[in-house]
Amino acid sequence: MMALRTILLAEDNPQDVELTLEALSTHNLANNVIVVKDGVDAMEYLRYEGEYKSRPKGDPAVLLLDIKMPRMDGIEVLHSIRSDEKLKTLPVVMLTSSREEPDLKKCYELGVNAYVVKPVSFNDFIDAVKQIGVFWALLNELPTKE
Amino acid sequence: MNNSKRTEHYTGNVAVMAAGILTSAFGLLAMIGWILHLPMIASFSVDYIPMAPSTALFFILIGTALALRSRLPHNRGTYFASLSIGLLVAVPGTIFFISSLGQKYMPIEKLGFSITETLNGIPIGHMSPVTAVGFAACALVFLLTLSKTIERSRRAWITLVLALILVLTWLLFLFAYLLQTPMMYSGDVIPPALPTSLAFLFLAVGLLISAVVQSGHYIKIKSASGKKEVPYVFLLIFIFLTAGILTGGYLAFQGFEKNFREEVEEQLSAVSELKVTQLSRWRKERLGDANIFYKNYSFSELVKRYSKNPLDADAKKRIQTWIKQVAESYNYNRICLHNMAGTELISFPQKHIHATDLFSDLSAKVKETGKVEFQDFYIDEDDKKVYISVFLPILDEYDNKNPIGVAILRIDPYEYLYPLIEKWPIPSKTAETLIIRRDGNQVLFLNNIRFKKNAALNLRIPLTNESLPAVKAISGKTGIVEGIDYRGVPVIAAVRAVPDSPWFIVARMDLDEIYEPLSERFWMIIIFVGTLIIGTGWGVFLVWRQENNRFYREQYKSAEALKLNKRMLNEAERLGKVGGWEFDIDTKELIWSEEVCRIHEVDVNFQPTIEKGINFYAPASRPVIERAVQRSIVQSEPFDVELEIITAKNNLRWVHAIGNVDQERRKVFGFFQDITERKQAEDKALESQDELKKALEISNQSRQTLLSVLEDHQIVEKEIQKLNKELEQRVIDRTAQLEASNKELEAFSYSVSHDLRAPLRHINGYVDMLNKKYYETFDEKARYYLDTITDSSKRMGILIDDLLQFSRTGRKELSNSEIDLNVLIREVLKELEHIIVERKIKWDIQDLPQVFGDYALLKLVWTNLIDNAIKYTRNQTSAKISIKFKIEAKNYIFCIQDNGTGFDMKYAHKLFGVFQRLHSQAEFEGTGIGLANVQRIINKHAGKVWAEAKLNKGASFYFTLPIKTE
Repeated sequence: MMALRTILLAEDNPQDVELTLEALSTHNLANNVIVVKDGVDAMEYLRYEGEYKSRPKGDPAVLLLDIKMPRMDGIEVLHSIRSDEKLKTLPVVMLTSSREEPDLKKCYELGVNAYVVKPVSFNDFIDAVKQIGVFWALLNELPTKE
Repeated sequence: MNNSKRTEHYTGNVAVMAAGILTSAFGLLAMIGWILHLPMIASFSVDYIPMAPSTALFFILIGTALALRSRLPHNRGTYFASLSIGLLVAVPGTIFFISSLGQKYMPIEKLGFSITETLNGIPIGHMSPVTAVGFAACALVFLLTLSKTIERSRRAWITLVLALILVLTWLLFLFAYLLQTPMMYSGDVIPPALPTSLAFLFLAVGLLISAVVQSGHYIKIKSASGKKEVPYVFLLIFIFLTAGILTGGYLAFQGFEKNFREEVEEQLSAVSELKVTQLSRWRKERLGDANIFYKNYSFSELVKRYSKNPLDADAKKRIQTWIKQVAESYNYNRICLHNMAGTELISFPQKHIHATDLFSDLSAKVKETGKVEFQDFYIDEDDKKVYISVFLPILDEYDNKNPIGVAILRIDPYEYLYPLIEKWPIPSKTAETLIIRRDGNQVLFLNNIRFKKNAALNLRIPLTNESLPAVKAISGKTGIVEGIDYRGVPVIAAVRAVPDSPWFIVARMDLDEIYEPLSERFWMIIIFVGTLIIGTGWGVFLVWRQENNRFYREQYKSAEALKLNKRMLNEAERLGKVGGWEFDIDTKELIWSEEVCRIHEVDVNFQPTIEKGINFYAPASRPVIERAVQRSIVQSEPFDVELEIITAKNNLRWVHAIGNVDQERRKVFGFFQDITERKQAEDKALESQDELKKALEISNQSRQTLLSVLEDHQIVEKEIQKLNKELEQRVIDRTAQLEASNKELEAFSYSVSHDLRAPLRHINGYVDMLNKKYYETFDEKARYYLDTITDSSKRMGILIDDLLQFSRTGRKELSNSEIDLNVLIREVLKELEHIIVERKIKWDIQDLPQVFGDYALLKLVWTNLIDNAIKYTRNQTSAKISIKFKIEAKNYIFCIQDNGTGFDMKYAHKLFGVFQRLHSQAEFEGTGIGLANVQRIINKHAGKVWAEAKLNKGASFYFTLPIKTE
C-alpha cells in the first residue's frame, strides 16, 4: 500500500471546498487534505509561517489551487512558488471555474503542472477530482529533497 | 583577415620558402663535406676554395629562418626569433669581416674541424671578407623585411635596392665561376667559394622577393587612392634586374676574354721567342760548321796544293772527302770550292753550276774581308729553288790572310729550317710563324706560308701597309701586335727580330681562331643571361600578376559591396518610398534616385530638370516649392514641405520634400517621400469622426478665408496643423475611452465566466449529493423536481459558455491566414461525426475555394451552419444537405442548403439575433446564440449573411466572403 500524502487545497468558496472534499472522500483521499482559504494562507502553510509555524515538516504531494481568491490569487501563489528555490518543484494543479484563455496561458507560462476547469456536472467534477487526487497523491513520484 | 592575407602572398611566400630551403641546403651540404672529410663537397672542384664551416653554419641558420618565416604567421614570437637569428648572423659576420681585413683569421671559424690546407697560399676554412659583408648585408635586409608592412616608402626602397644589389653581386661571382675565371683567386684575400656564391644568390633572391612582396603591399596602399602604380614598380625591378644580369654577364665575359687573350698572347710570345732562339742558334751552328773549313790549315794547304796543281789527284781526292763528309754530316745541300778567279774547283754533289753575280759579289766581299758571310734566302737561278748559303774564304795557312779560294756551303731550307720555323707547339688551325726581312721599301716573306703558295721570296708587301704585323716588326716593334695579315684577315701576332740577322719572326694567329672558344663562351653566357632574364621576367610577372589580381579582386569586392549597398539602398527607398535628389547650383543639373522617379511615375532613366520637377507639382503646391527651391539656392535656406504632385500617370500624390544646401559642393540635396498613404490614413481618421468632419469643414473654411485674406500659406498651414493636432488629440481620447470600455467588457465576461459558473456548479453538486444520499427518502415528485433543477443548471452552464464565446468573438482580433475550405469542412464533419453516424444524410459538397480569414472563427461559422442543417433535417426521412459557392462582384457567395424544417420568412429578421429562436426548446434544442455568432464573424470578415426558407420546405443559408489575395 502506498503512503498517502497530503493534498493542499486552496479555495475560498466553502461550497467548493465541501464539494471537493466530498469528491475526494469517495476515494478515501479526504483525510489527507489540508484546506486553506486563500493564497496568503497557502504560502504561510508552505513556508511554515504564521499559523503553520510548527506544523509537521514536509511538502504536500500536490497543491490544488483556485484562481479567484481574496488577498492573494492563485496566479500570484503559483508565481511565488515557482520563484521560491525551496518550493519550485512542488506540483501545482489549477482547479478553477474559469476557462478564460489569458488565465490558462499565464498559468502555463508560470509552469503549472495541470489546469482543470471545474465541470458544472457534479459527476464529472467527482471524476475529475478523483483523477487528480489519485494521480498526484498516490502515483506521482517526486525527487527526494536534500 | 590573416588567412586571406596568407593566400594572397602565396606565390611570393612559396618562392621565399624555396629560396630559404636552397640556401640552407647548400650550407648543410658543405657541413656534411667537412664532417665526412670531403672538402670537395664544399667546393665543387679541386681548383676552387671550399665553403668555410662558419659560412655553412650561417647559411643553415639564415636559410632556415627565411623559409620558416615565410610559412609562419606574423606574431611576436616569430618576430623575435627572426630578429635574434638576424643578429646572430649580422654581428659575427661583421666581426669576421673586420678581422679578415687584417688577414687575421680566428680558429673558431673552423668550428672544431682540423683544416690546415691552403690553396695557392690562401688559408682554407676561413670566411671570405666578401662573404662576411654579404652576411651582414643579407641579415640587414632580413631584419628590414621583418615587420609585417613597411610604412615608409624610403625604408621600402632601401630594402629593395639593397636586396637587388645583393642579387647582382652574387650573380657576378657566380658568372665568374661559370666562366671558369673565378674572381679574387690571384690576390691575398680569400675569395668566396662557388657554393657560397650559389647559396648567396638564392638567399638574395629570396630576400628580394620578400622585399617586393612588402613594397608591393605598401604600394598597394598607395594605389588605393586611385593611382595604379603597381606595374611601374615591377617594371622598375625587372629593368634593374635585367640591367644587373646584363652587366654581370658582360663583366664576367670581359674578364674571361681578358684572361683568354692573355693566355693566347703568352702563347704567341713564347712561340716567337722560341723561334728566335732557335734561329739564332741555327745561324751560330752554321757559322760553326763553316769553321771546319775556315782557318783550317790542313784544308787550306790542300786547297793551295790543288789550286796550284789541278792535276794533284791526291789533293783533289782529299778535298772531295772533306767536302762530302761535311755536306753529309751537316746536311748541306751542296758544298763547292771556288778559286780566286771564281771558277768552281770542286763541288759536292758534283755538278757544275754557273757562278752568278750574286755569287761573285759575295765571293769578292768574303775575299776582301776574310770573314764568313751568310747569303740570305735566295732563288738559285739554275734550279729555281730557295737556298741559303754560307760563304767562307779559304785563308792562307801562314798568315790567315790572303784568301786562296772561297768555299760555299749551300743549305736547302726545306730540309730543316722551314720545318723548324713552321713547327707550332700545339695544334692550331691558323697559327703560323713567318720569317721576313726588309727588302727596300718592301717586306719580303722568306718562308712558305700556310695560306699562300710559293710565297717564299715571292711575296712582297710594301712597308706602307702599316697594319701588317710584319711591317710592324720591321718598323721596330717587339711583342704583341694586332693587325691585318697578308690575307686581309685580322690577326694577333708576336713579333721579334732575330739578333745578328736581317730576319724578323712573326708568330701569328687569326683572331677568329682565338675567338672561337671565346664565342662558345659568349653564347653560353648569352643563353645563361637570356634564361636568367626570362626567369626574372617570369618571376616578376608572376608576382605582379598576383598583386594585380589582388588589386582587381579588391576592386571587384568593393564594387560588389557598392552594388549591394546600392541595391539595399534602392530597396530601402522603395520600401520607405523615400528617394534622394541632388541639384547642382552651377550646372543646373538635377539628379533623381530611382525611387523619386517611381514616385513621379516616370521611367528610372528620366532626365529631370528643375523646371520639369516643379511642373509635376499640383497648381496649388507649385508656388510653394518654387519659392522653397529659390530660397534654398539664393539664401541657402533648407526647406521641409509637404505638397501635392500630379504624377506622369496623372495620379495625385502627397509628397514630403526636404531640401538642404551644401555650400562647399554648391549643391542642393534632399529627400523626397511619398506620403499619400499617410495622408489618406489621416483623411480616413478625419472621416471616421463627425467632429473631425466638422473640423475639416471649419479648417477648409478658415483656410479659404485665410487664403483670401492672407497670401502667406504658412500661416494657413499652421492653423490647419493646430486644428489637426486638436482633432488628433480628440481621436486619441476617443480611442482611449473605447479601449477602457473594451477592458471593462473583458473584466465583465471574465467574472461571468468565473463567478456565474460557480453557483451553478454548487446547485448541481448539492442536488447530486441529495440524490445520492437521500434518494430513498424522496418520493416520485421530489425526484422529478431535483431532475429539473439539474437539467436547468446544466442548461444555464451551456448558455453561459455560449454567451462567453459570443462575447469573445466580438472582441477577438482576426488572425488571418489562407484557408482551404475543403480541409476545414472535412474537419468540421469529423467533429460532428458522432451525430452524423446516427443519421442518414445525402451530402452534396462542391469543391470549395481558398479564402483568407481567421481559421478558428470560420470553422465556428461552418460548424454552426452544418450543425443546424443536420439538426433541422432530423425529422426528414431522406435528409439532403448541399454546400455550394459562386462568385459575384469580387465576392464568394457560399450556400448551405437543407431540406429540413425550414422557417417562416416572416421571422427571418430575427434569425440572427442573440437568444432569438424560431423553434421551441422541446422541438429543437439550442441557445439561440449560434447564428448570432455566425453573423458577427461574417461581418468581421467584411461579408454578409442571410437565409431563405419556407416552412417545412428546407432552408438555405448564404454568406459572402471577399475574394482577397492578401
